Amino acid sequence: MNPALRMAAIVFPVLAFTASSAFAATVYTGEMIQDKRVISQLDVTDLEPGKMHRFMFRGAETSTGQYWYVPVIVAKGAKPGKRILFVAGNHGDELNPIAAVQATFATLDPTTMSGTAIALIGPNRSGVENISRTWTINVLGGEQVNPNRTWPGREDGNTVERHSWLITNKLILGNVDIGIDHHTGGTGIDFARFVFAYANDPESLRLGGLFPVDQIMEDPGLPGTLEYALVKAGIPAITTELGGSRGFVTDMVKLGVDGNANVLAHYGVVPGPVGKTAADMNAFVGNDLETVSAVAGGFVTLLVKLNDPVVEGQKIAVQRDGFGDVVHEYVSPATGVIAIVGTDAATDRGTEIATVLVKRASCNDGQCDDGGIVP
Amino acid sequence: MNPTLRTAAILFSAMALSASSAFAATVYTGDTIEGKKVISQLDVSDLAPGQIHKFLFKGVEMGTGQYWYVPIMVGKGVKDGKRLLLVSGVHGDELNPIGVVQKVFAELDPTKLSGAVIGVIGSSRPGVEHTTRGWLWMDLGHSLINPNRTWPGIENGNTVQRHSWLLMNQLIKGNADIGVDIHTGGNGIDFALFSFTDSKDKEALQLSKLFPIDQIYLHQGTGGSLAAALVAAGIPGFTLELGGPRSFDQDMINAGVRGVENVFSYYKMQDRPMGQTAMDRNALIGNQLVDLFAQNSGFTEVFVKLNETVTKGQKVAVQKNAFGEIVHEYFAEADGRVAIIGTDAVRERGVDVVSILTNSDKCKDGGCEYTGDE
Repeated sequence: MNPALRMAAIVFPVLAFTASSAFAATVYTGEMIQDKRVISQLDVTDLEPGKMHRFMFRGAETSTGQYWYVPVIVAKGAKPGKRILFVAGNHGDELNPIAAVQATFATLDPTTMSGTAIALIGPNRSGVENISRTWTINVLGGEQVNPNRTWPGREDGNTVERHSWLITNKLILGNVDIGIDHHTGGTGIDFARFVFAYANDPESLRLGGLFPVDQIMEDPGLPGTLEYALVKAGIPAITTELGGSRGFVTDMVKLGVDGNANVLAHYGVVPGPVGKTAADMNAFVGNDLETVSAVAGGFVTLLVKLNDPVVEGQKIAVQRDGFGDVVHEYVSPATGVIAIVGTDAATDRGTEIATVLVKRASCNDGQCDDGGIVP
Repeated sequence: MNPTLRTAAILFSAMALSASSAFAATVYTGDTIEGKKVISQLDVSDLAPGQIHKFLFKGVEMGTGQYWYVPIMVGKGVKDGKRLLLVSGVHGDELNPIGVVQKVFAELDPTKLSGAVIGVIGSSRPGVEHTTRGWLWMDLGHSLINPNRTWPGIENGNTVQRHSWLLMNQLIKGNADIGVDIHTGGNGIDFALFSFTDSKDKEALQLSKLFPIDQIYLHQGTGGSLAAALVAAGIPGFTLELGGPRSFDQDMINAGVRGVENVFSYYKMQDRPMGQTAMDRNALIGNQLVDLFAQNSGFTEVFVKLNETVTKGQKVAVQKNAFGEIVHEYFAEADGRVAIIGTDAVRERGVDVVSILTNSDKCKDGGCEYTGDE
């Protein structure tokens, strides 16, 4: 080894060490927005214990060179303990999660907490402003990117990929032990009280069971989702589905709040008992999603409701043209329970009419897919 | 008048006085973004002379309760003089104006300036982000609002109306003596070097003539436009059009910058000679803009170029269907010069194919009212 190489070999481990301990400090950019300090990196160990901290996290830049800032709340307990991440607004048209996380943090008293709760309110800044699932980037006249297919992000990727990378690397990694990504159905569909949990991670499955939902899917892991990126990073995580899009629905917000409280109690972050869980709801646990998509255009009348049990071959929807003539009838492809229903009557080819959660012996260990559409 | 009423009357007068002297001070919110101080109100007289000041102006809030911040630059001269307002990005797909304002400030030496220059960069924040003319507003799903029909704004109006109100009342009024609202044609069209100038305001006409443009359209003012709101507020101002949308065209940007330099010269804001003006370019001053809107839909070929002289009856465009069959032919409806051409070949019913600036007898008393989209 020549001297230069030897020197490089010495320097390299030092650099690697620095990288692995990247969360040496919270980085304050010096900016203030709405009286909140702007951070470009979070290290919760820096923060004063027994207090609620509020920041604006500087995300990706916009096409004009200004930045998107994501509201972040850190409730740092007086004593150490598990650090739990609550994300709302990964999809911008899913609003119950935002109300649920806000309500959870409104009740937290950091002086009595052991551990930390971190809230990310509307990381998909563009989507939440436009109440759209996707983030519109300015490529070739406009393209809509699904942020929940971009995790863990790419440092020099497009705007959305970089935004996800910044959140993963400058905010989540090193600060989070447990992650919950709250969702709802998107615009035009409605979702049952539902949890996705990675089938091959017992801790994630336990976490999912803490929410008083009616249905749990033991999922195979969908690349690009925040849930899967967290699990792959060694952070047990779930995706919740709290009903439908766009509005604040009290019952669905309460589902999120109750589940959040159970998670905080289960891990001892907040003192107190665990309340009603999925087991208490006698939740249906499946491992496969079968989606019925429109094979024609037309107005759809649904014959089933969320949580209805269905059997294979059962008629679940009728589609008619403008004259009221039937253009297609849809049957359930499997026996299970209804997890998702389409709510927009006017239905384009390829859009979702209903999705059935199914339990198959052949899908144990997460071998089946997720219907290709959700979350 | 009973004593209570009298007290109320005195209080009311005092309040009215405070309102009229609203620009008592620049208001710093305490926020800083990208190293710039955030202001919610500007008073140029507060600022240190001989410097360029950069701020983010806190505009309207978004649906989430966060805010839109508009970049503002103020070049404050060392001596008293005219205070010139330059606005860009009222339409978000019109980028040459942003290039003009940035270049004016890059070349500005405030230690050799009398008066002040106030630059607004991209007032339609979501429009500029998405390169769109409209500001996407979330009422009943989506609607796109044309910001240049919302001035002078409404304090408790919708998002766009309030944003315009904040800019007009917390930034422009009391700080600007003259103003130029810089535009280009929107998506799908291209514009000549052109001005929309309110015929009622002689100084606005003088200001327009200082720019090296080819066409000046004297008209009755377009309600809701920033230019009309400036004139109504006693601030001579006009709308400048510098070519087409979306990109930076250096020739168009330079035309805007040269015009601003002429304004500096004319108002003795800087010691510099007068450059080429509209009069040097033999500009056509017209009183009517005749829009030829598509009467049918189809693929359209335009036969004329910008600023070309046309005569009434001359064929200017042909529209064909997918089979190449002619569905409509367009003929100039007046003698004049081509001000606007459609550049998107696919032209829907009602969109602009060609616009011609002309002089007509029926509009000779101060120009006709302009009801088009521009």
